[in-house]
Amino acid sequence: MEPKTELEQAVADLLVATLNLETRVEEIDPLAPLYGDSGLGLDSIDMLELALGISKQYGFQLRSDSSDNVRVFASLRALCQHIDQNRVR
Amino acid sequence: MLALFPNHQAHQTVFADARGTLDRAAFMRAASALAQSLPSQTHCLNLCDDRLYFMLGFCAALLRGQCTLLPATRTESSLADITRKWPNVTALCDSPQTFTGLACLQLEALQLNAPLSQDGDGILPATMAAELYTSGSTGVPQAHHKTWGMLVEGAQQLAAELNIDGTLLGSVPSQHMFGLESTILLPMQAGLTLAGGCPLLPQDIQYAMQNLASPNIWWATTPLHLRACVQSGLKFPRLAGIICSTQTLSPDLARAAETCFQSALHEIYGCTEAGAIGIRRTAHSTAWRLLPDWEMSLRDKNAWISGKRSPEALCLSDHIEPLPDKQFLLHGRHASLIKVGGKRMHLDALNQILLSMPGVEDGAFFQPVEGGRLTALVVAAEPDSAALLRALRKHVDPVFLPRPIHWVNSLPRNALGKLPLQVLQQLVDHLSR
Repeated sequence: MEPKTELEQAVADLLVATLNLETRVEEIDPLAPLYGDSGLGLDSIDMLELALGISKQYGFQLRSDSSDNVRVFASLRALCQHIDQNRVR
Repeated sequence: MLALFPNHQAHQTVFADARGTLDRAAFMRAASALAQSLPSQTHCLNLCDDRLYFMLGFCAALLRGQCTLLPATRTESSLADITRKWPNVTALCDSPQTFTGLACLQLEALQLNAPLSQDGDGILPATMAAELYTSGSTGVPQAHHKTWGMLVEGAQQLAAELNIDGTLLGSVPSQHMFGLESTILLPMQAGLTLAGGCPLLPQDIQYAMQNLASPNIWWATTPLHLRACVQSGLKFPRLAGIICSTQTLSPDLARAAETCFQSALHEIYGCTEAGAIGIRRTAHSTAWRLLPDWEMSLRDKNAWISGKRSPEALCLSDHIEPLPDKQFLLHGRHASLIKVGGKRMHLDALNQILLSMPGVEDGAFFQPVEGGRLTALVVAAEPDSAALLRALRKHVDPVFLPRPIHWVNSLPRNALGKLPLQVLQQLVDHLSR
């Protein structure tokens, strides 16, 4: 498993805490899918919760890019790159 | 005969998204072409997520006299149940996707243009149009049959109550009863334009609304989406109306949403068996108005409804208090029925599945009083949360997967082997601390 950056570590903490995940932060592979049946297995209810948590923490609104609602959530790394480009705090 | 689009002129827009618009004539040409491409069967399974392909598939099946199967979930076991019942059924899909054991027809790959042949004919009301599934108390999926006449009646009842026109945007999938009624049947029957897409996050929803050409935008949504939008602090366009269902909406959230979207919010009470049953303006009223085609009565503390949308009287699974003038109050759900994210299952069925998982010696699901995700208490010699979740995922929709799983040495069963709710609540409170 790839090591996590500082931001990835922080967002993984947010993920586990916000969503009550049954996964430990150190078990989250930054390249594994967040959404769908493999990886973390998050669903659309989680995406709504997570988007709210991220907007509070980093001060911007997530967009899931129309129907392609998986790209930003493709992995912890993809999500963090998106946060890094858009965060205002 | 009942027409597919009784209130659209031939050149009125039926569907619009970033790819362009389709008027009624063009839509019907595409639907007729697809009808001719469907394999010769009695049923077809509609797994399209794309709103246009879903509606095309649904209409093509009707034109071809085929009943559309709409499973509540796409778990391996629920799709296996479908193929056991209809071994050769074809699944309609948007794009290349694989579902184990299913033949798929990819709508994206088809050229859908045929000479207009069947527009205006309409469909016989008795035609079996859709079969939706819920999980029964034993966990075996129960089929609910909808004739075209029932579906049209439900959409017309809603259209009359809402006084709706313009464009409808949906944030719910079309495969469950509220989604089918609000995003497909209502636009078809009430002369609306259906907007493509199923925007999820507040920013997506705002973007989708800002990009619709219509000044009259209606939004079909859920309390979860409303809460996210209200809390986002984003500014949304003024809407013509909001239709909300799937789980209880608080009056506070309803009022906040009415302010946020500068529009009336109509909450729909319904179930898969009946479709839409009642409606209320939640910001202003706790009482529900029964839709005019239903009659309600109380028998043995249970509310029953009857009407032309249900050939037999239906017993509702909620505590209901009838009021004068076809109004009623809803006092919550019977405890054995669990609802998360618009999907429902019986607690007994969930517990049976949990107990059948490899390595599980005892276990029970638990839903907090305030609703939301389930937790599970599980006894096993070798606790392994990841393995248990993998096994459960094959049998239950992901919304019912427990978070968290509490591994315990034993469950506080009483002398009769039952788990009193209060004792379970105390244990969960203790473990969550």
